[in-house]
Amino acid sequence: MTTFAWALGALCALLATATAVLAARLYRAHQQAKALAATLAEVAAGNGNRRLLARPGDVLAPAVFAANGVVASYEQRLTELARHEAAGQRVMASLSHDVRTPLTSLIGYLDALERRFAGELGTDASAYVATATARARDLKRYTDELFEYCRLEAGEFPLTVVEFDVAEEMRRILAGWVVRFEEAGVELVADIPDGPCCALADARALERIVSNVLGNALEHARARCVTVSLQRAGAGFVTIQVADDGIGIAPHDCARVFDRLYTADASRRSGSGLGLSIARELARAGGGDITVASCVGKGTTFRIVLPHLPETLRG
Amino acid sequence: MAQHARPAASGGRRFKATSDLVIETRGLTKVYGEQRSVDGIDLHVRRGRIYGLLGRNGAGKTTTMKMLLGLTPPTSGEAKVSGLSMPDHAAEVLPRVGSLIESPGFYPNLTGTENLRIFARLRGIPGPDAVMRALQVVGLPYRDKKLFSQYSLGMKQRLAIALAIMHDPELLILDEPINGLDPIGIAEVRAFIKRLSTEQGKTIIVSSHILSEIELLADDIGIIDHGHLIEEESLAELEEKNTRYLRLKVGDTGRAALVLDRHVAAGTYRILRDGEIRVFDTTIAVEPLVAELVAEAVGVREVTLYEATLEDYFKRVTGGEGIA
Repeated sequence: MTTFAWALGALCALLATATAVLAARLYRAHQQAKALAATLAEVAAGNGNRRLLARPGDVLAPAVFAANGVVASYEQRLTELARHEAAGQRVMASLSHDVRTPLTSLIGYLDALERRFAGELGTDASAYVATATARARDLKRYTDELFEYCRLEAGEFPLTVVEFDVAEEMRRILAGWVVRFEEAGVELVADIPDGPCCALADARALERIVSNVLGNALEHARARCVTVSLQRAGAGFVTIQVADDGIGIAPHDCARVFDRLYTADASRRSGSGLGLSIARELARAGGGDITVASCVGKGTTFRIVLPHLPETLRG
Repeated sequence: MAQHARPAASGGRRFKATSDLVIETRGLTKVYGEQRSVDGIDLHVRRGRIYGLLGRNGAGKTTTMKMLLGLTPPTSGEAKVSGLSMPDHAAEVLPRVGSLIESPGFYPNLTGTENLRIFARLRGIPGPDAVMRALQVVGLPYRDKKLFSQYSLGMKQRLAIALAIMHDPELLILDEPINGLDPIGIAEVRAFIKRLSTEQGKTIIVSSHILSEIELLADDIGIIDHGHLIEEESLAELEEKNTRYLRLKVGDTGRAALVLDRHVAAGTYRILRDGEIRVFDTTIAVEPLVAELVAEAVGVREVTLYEATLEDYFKRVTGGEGIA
């Protein structure tokens, strides 16, 4: 009888210990499963260097180790991709310097040739020099646009958005375009209010946006007249409209004019196809936007929107 | 004609704008008795970068790192690692950090492999062969018979680094990791720290009192002196500052190139955007060049000579020693 009681007691004690051990292991496995889920959530949120640690004997150790392995190998590939991207950007940046210096100097020499030896050159030679100069300038404009776009993509175009008088700035920008419009035989009409008209923008970016839109109108719209107007659009915005009476853009092209490298005119000779996408990137980076509306045969209107400080926030 | 020494701390502001900071401290201060070992440091370590903390001995590098690891509480200010403040969240943060700070306690009568296995049991590991891989990275043999007590200084340092990386941490905090290593060892350790960053995107903060070492290793640099962080910038920016050049702003860069070709060799000047030209040959006579530029009507708006002041600056920071 007593032996039986002892045996029963021993069995109970054994069972109790086994249960305790199992419960402890189950609890640890449970905790680890929760930690695994939390860690994987962090990985999913973008931290690919997150690892979960386990002791070799743990129930979940194989799952933990496998998850770590998968995460590590993907992280390695992502890192490699990022490295290639950075290397590409560096190449573009140094190329930009290496191309700009000789190209600028080439234009300098061609200009000097035209300026100083105009009388000594024959008609043919003069024409050749003039063409070479024009081509070199095209090339420079093209590379400048390309490098600017790369810089924008790489986030290396720091904008200083401040409030300033856009009317004054627009008059200054347009003054610089008068000659080019005259040469092209296109009328340039400016409708800028006399008083100050303040908005939030980066002055350098604004000049680039307006210039790219004007350049586009001049080169591709085949317009007789381009009207630039500046208005307060109520509701905290100032708009700049560049309207031409040219050939217009077909609706399916209209949606894509701001896309990178998109050119509506398949046979066009000049331009990189980047000017308008640069304009849009800059406009959006400064908290504004640019939109287009067009009617084939009647003309195209680009609308640049700039935010301005509401009256209540001033002072 | 203005001579410029450019303002020192300018890059710091941009670091703060980056939201992806693995380490961020604000006004971190440690006072031991009368001594302010670390005095109001704002540190910004970006994800995936190697950050070099440069300063002479006793400048506060080790104390700063100890506070980052929660080994000593700050007197005032705040240290955040992965967005969690230390030492309050040490239990969550430390498994994600690998550190080398002073020497870890290894058992002298066990081998290197056995020592690492003990830590593997205690702390857990990320994969089945973590011990072997860690030893491989630092170039120590796996399952070698040599006891830790028989290790050379360099081998001990390597084992300590193996321990720091064994759990594949996302952040490494390494205090003077090349101390005690021979020249070959230094090159090896430097190479694998670089590899951890470029191949796996680890974030690493390394301290050193040797400028050349930090230059070879770091992407970003923080200079610490007498407990103050006097500069925090990317190496690229520091190097740019360290070049001597004559900066011109002109209206017509093409015309200016003609004049420059008569004064300096081709390839020693660069034409940048917005009419900026940099002439890297600063031995030329500046006045005749400028006079001719003006005579040629290129529209000179600005002439500035930038002279390197950073070497002197580093010298002052490091007390003239340790610049190798």
